[in-house]
Amino acid sequence: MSTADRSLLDLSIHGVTIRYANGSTAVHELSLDLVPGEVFGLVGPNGAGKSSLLNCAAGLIAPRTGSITAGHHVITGQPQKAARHLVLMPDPLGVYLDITALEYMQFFAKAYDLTSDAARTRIAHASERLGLGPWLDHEVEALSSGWQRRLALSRVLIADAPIVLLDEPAAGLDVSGRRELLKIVRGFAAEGRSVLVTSHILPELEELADRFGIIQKGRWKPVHGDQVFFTRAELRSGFTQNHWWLECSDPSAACQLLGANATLEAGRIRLAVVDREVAAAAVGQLVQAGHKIYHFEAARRSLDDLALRALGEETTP
Amino acid sequence: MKNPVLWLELRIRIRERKLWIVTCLYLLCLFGISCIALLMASTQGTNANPAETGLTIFGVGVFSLLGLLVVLGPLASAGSIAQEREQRTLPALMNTPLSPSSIVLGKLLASWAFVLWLATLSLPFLGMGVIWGAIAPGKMLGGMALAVAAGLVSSAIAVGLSGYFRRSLTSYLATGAVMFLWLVVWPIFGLLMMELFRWHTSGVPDNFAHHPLIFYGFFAHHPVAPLFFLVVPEASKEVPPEAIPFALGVWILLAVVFFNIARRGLRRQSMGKS
Repeated sequence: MSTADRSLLDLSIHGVTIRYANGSTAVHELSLDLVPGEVFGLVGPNGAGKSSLLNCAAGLIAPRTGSITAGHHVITGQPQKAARHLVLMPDPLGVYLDITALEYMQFFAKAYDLTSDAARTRIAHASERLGLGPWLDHEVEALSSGWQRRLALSRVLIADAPIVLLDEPAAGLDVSGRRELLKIVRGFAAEGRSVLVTSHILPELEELADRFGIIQKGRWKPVHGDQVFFTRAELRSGFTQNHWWLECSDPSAACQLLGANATLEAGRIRLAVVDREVAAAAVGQLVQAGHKIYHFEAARRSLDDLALRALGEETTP
Repeated sequence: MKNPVLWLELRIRIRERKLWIVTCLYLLCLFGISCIALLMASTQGTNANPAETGLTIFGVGVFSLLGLLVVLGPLASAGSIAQEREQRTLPALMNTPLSPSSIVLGKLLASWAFVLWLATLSLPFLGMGVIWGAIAPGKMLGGMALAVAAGLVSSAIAVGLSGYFRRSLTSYLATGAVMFLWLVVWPIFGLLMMELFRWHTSGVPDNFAHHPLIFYGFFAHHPVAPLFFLVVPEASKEVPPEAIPFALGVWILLAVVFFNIARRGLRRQSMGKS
């Protein structure tokens, strides 16, 4: 189905609080707006509230406060209504193992009340798009976890949902599997679908998502001042400053010479300045002061670095 | 098939080795019961009369059928929804336009299809009573229909509890407890009540049907009761004519109550959290 045939929907999560029966608060007044064609990466340690937020967005958990809308449709705590607009790929996948891949797709086509013609067309499209053709007659149990993930993704194409929620889609996949998944998910965004994805594999998430947010103990974690969401470009540029790594003789003295822009990290100097001209001038200053320069390179700030800094060293995202 | 969950369940169940093992064991049981019935008929000296033999086989067979269905129906369905939670397939299932009612209905009908399958297999055994002229075909079919209806109610109880409890083991145990309470404990309690009445009042005829409160409260809705009223001629003379409709009414009520328990359980705890 072409993008033109499908209505593009934004997902709006507004002031959502999720509290469990045992009294613990999983998510505290979180808000997030997702626009069509955007991939949003949700980062956070285990137990931060990522999966709860996704399940809540899918209507599977009713929030204590707040609302969730898909376009103009209020879907708060209404899984059936939410399912008309979004597909959740949960973690663990929870695919039925005792049926064939084709039956799995047929079941969901029936669940979405598709006519037999529409079901055939969408199953054929999903099989072709996800490369599932050779595996259609195989039992799901016999498929590798990578193919099971693709099969689970086929629900997105069968439902033709404009909003896609992916909870740890790359878990258990090898490198090539993750690259393939990245292409598929980017393809969803290219078709105008809004994609919200959580992952612990941050290098892949960094490649995949357009915008990010870090969540800890159910709250957004500011990454730069009060700013909680950031784009890939902001991540790469280090927000307002660019970073360089500098290895030279007597790094402590060099660091003192460069002033507040320089910090000493594991024997290397991290230089934070606005552009490369200023960085080059700083290097010139060190050379003039008699320091030997061993290595100088632009530091690429990764999502890993940022998440670790934001969450503190004691937690692993 | 209109209900996708029924479609899926039947596909999964038909591939399970368990189904065929249970079917074989069930046929062996029926065969054994028929042999015992024949033996009983011969020891009573009635083997020369085919109608008497047929009646014995039918009587033993139909009550055994009922017992097996009431036990096997819940066994086939007691974990049906709880297992979806344990295998983590429930979130994906709930993230479809399917309503909790249609999910529970699909599960229940799939369990009942198993009961129907077993009942169909027992037709040749029960048919001996008809072939030998011991019982009218209508009565035989009525008896089977009652057994199948009791199987549906017991399946509904099992599905209801599997929707309520998170773990399939708990749901199996709870189903066993409810069935034991209904089938064994409740009638025993009724007998004790009758003894109590007899002890307190003198001159009251010693008959179930003459204690309406005890009769309807403790015995009339028991899965065996309507079949007993239908098949045993002496019983059908003693009990009031509304006993079978009353039992069916209670069964429907039970099925509806447990259906709703499963539906609410699904709605309340789709993720096992609230």
